Amino acid sequence: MSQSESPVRERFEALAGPPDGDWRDVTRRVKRRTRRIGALVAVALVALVATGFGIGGTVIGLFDVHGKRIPLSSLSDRDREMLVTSMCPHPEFRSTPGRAPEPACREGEPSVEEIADDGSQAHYRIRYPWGLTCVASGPVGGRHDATFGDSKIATLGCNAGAPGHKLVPTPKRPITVDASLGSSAKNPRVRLLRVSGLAGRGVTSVGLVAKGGPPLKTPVRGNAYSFGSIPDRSWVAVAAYDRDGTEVYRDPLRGVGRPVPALTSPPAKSSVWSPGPPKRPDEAPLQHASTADAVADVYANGVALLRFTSPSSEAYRRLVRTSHKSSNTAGVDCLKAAFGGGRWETIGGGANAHVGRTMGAHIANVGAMGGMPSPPFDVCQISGTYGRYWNDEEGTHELVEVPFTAIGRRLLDERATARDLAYLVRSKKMHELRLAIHRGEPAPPASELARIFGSRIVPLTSREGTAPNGKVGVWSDGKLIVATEQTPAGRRLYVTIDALRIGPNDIRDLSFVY
Amino acid sequence: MRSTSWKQVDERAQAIETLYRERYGRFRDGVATITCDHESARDVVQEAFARALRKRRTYRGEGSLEAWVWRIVLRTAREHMKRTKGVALNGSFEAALVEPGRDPVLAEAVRALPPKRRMIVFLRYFADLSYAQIGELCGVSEGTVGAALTQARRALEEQLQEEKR
Repeated sequence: MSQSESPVRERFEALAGPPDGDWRDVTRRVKRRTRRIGALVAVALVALVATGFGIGGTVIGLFDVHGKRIPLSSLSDRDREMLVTSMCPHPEFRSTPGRAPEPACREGEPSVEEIADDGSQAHYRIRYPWGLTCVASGPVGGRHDATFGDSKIATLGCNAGAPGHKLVPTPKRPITVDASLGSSAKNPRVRLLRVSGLAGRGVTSVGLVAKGGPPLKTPVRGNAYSFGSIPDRSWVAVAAYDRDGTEVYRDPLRGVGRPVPALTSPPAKSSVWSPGPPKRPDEAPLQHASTADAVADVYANGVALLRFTSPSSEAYRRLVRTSHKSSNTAGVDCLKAAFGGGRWETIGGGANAHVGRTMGAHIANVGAMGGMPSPPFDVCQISGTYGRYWNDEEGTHELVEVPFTAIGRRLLDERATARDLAYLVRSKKMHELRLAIHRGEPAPPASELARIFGSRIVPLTSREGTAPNGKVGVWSDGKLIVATEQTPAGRRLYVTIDALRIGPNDIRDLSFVY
Repeated sequence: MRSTSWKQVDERAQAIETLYRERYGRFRDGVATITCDHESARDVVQEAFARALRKRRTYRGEGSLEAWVWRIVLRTAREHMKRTKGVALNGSFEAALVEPGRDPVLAEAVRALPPKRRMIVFLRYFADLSYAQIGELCGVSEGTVGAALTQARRALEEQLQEEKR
């Protein structure tokens, strides 16, 4: 803390409120919100599946726009991940010697076209080689976000599970309707919050129709329409109009203005989804491996089952002891891994499972649209639910880690080393030092850091120095701190601390450092 | 789903929990200057951390986690104010000390600051954020934050000096 800040800061700090934090309340809110969203989605679906019917003899609105082709290479990493990897039935890696592996899709890549642009929102049609069609939209010109990365895509809707459902206008249905409904505690009636969509050729305006009043119209621009602020009325339909103002199509809106149905029964006590293990397939497993604590089997259909060898094993006892913090569930995950150009890439997936001697998940079925790895896997694991602190007795490995391959074993070793560094950087003591540096104090010399953190830390005389196996080396120049550690295979990992910022490092692909 | 969703999401949950356990008071005190009482500030912070947990997959680790959570906290606070006070806020909160009676001189000195500068002061001294994090939250450069804080501190110190005389 700088001297000039101290008196003012102390005055503010003297006004701190009561210590009334409650993490369990936060986690309860997470679950409550999930239930509410479920109810809202159910209401919204009623509106979205409303059947359309044509009016009058003028059938127009063929959506024959061949949009502007958008090369995937022009999209940001974030958009590519959303449109390609997260939707892919069989994601895998594309490896080039000496370069970092790139996620790719076995079934091929989608084509992306910009099909509408009303000046504020751009709309894209995405067609996948396996028959899936999606429509995405986002602000024109994209959105820059220093934290999340640049993105053109804000929303994505697909016809998965309903291949006949048209996401773009057709002659029979010349507009699409994307409606959001909601209600408030003060006014518990279903209210129309937002309506937008695409409009086929010949549709010049779209209107919201209420009983006994003129429609509220909005023009079609660039094959799209959007209502800004919508007055609170009992809207009954969305209608499409041609150049003469003639209504050519009407899509009913159901439920708007009605009271929100009250819950007839109290919510169930346990809201945590914690399934037992999936059924063990009849055929022989595709992969089989064991450790001192557990035996793992992976089947061709994507089912992974892990069985603790004994209820008295340390891992099982620790799982039972700590899982009450997470409603007796723990994560079961499997992944594929690749390493190249000094960088790890993984494709993984998993599910929460009820704690028991046998735990498992149908990995291939976890993702609703895709994006899950398919066997063979490099690693499967069961994650514990305890906290993570540097140098604590829980260590830096997951509760159960079963490698099936050499690359899987190496990933687990390197991840554990990277976590050791990340937990050190995140530790409370280090955070206090980082705050002090941020306020203008010099970073402690390496010898002082070794004294503060204990015998696992060894001071280094150069920034590129290496610590002996099992030790963490630290170097400091009074401003920056570099912490480094060797993996069991002898690879040097490091992270640079620049006060509150994380500087150059090579652990971000293995652990979460901040 | 890539590496972000597998190996980092649970670590993110743990990181968010750690942040909560270590910095809850800072968040609550910072928000209280917006909501004007500790009870509703607590509610905002609880709700915001629940949102952060739900959205943790979208955090890519490219900025500070604390600044990311703070953005969610401020958005939640803005929604809370809209809902409870019925006013549309344009992003510049009319923040004030929660219990001015506990330090009337400081409360008066803070009240004399322009709203945006007052917010920066609160984010610095209650929330304990860095210049960079405040800049990120308020959409201004670090230099602007530094200048605003220097001016605010000078004004506050003048007021506090007068108190001693």
